Amino acid sequence: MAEVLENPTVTVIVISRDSPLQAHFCLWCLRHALVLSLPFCQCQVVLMDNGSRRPYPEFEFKRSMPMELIRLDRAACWAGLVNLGSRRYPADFYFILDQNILLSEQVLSGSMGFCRMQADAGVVAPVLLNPNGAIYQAGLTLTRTGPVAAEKGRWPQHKQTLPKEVQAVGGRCMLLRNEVLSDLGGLDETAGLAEVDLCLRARQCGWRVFCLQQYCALCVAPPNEETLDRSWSAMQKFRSRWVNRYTLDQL
Amino acid sequence: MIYYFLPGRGLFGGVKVAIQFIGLMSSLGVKIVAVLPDGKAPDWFVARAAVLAEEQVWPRLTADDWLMITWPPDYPRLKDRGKLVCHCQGTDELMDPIFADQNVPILSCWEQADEYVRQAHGRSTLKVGIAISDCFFHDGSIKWDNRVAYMPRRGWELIKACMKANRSLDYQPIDGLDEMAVSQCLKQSGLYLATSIGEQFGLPALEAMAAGCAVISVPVKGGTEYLRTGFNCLLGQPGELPELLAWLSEPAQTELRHLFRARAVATAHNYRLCGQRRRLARLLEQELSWLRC
Repeated sequence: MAEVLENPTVTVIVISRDSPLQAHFCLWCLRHALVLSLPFCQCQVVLMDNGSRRPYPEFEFKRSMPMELIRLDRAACWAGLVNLGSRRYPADFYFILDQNILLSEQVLSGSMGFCRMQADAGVVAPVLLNPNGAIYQAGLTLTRTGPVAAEKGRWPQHKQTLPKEVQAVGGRCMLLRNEVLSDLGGLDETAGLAEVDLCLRARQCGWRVFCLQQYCALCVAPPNEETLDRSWSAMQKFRSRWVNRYTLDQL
Repeated sequence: MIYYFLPGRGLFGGVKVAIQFIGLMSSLGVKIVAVLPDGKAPDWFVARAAVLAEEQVWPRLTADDWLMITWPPDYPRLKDRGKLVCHCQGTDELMDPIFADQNVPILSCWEQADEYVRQAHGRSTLKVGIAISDCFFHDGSIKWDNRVAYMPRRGWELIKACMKANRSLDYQPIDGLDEMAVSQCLKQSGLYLATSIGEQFGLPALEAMAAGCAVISVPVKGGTEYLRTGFNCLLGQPGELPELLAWLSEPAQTELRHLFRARAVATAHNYRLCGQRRRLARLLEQELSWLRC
């Protein structure tokens, strides 16, 4: 069980590729979220340029807010990026953010506050909303064939204001405790759906995974065909390792 | 950490009770995982428990960890591996060596198990309770008064005798189905025949009661705490079952059947998961605090 940290350090890992404009939007929203989280923690932002065809100009990003830029020549997988970011900028928590996620102001401070109260919360994530306000993902539901987005297409309801314990959450926006990474020896870069693999392995070590239904972030770009192709092969890999090795969630 | 050992993931009430117990404990902040020989999780009911393969446990095991057992053959092979705790789901003679071991704390699921351990071994147990899934509770869907649900896996001869004596009823077998399908089937049935002789608790009968079935059952060991003959069910010796079924299914007994169903649902509400969770939360504050490692 984790101790309650007085002033924890957080490394915010923003993953971006081929879209500096989108990265700017994402960082702009993040900046507002960081202001609210300042009393709780010390944050450091790391932007990972995941092998963009035109490398991101460092000065342009650093002008808007203090941050570090890691530029990769070739695109790496999500797990590889998180491992790299966490190794290079170690902290008590890692907040992982995709460029297509626009945070609401309370997400980071709220997630940190929740993790301080709930010492066994290893991984937490907010609800992701579509631009039309419907739910894009409120944690993941594990079915016989693999994970699917929970509550997808439904409208957020007032009663959904309590944290919901789930078996897995998506990796586009999540807060991860450093002790989880230490227990697991980092993320498995060979795993399909590394974020689900992370959550399931964390649960095997006694950590709990939560979807914080009271906080939401906007998902502005659903996966395109290229990512869908990738996720299909990732799903196959995931199934070969995990199918029948987790209990099923209520659909 | 608590490692709860299970012999397999088959369609057995004990597996479901164990996995649900793990889910509840885990939701209360106890570090607990299920351990199955091949690491494969049961897929016939909904639950939220982390699952490990047995080979994954041994390298992780520390002196602070608890090994939870429920299946008697696990006792001799695990007793030298670490601290044991027994989640008692039965009181047959195979369990006696576990009850006799003073170093193994006993968590009992129902009253009769606690009574047995106290009388036969002079020990007290911690009553952690037992629960049925919420999906079984009757939701007002159409119920066919003449439909008799039964599980042919145990007591098939008895069922055949009932069928022979009561040909006008509509019999609905429940076998090899997942929990959701079983619950749908029970919710649509008016009567339930519990024919498993020597059953420990009789979870299917309680699930049928939750689904609003009028239950006719053979005597069970632990089930006497919820099966009250003439009040919410009819209990009878195996030979009496065809007669009881004939009597209860008569048109003249319609009112009694409705009464049994209403009382059965009310009784089953005492076994909701939220109730067991509250009980566990209370125990974890006091008597079971040693499990929070």
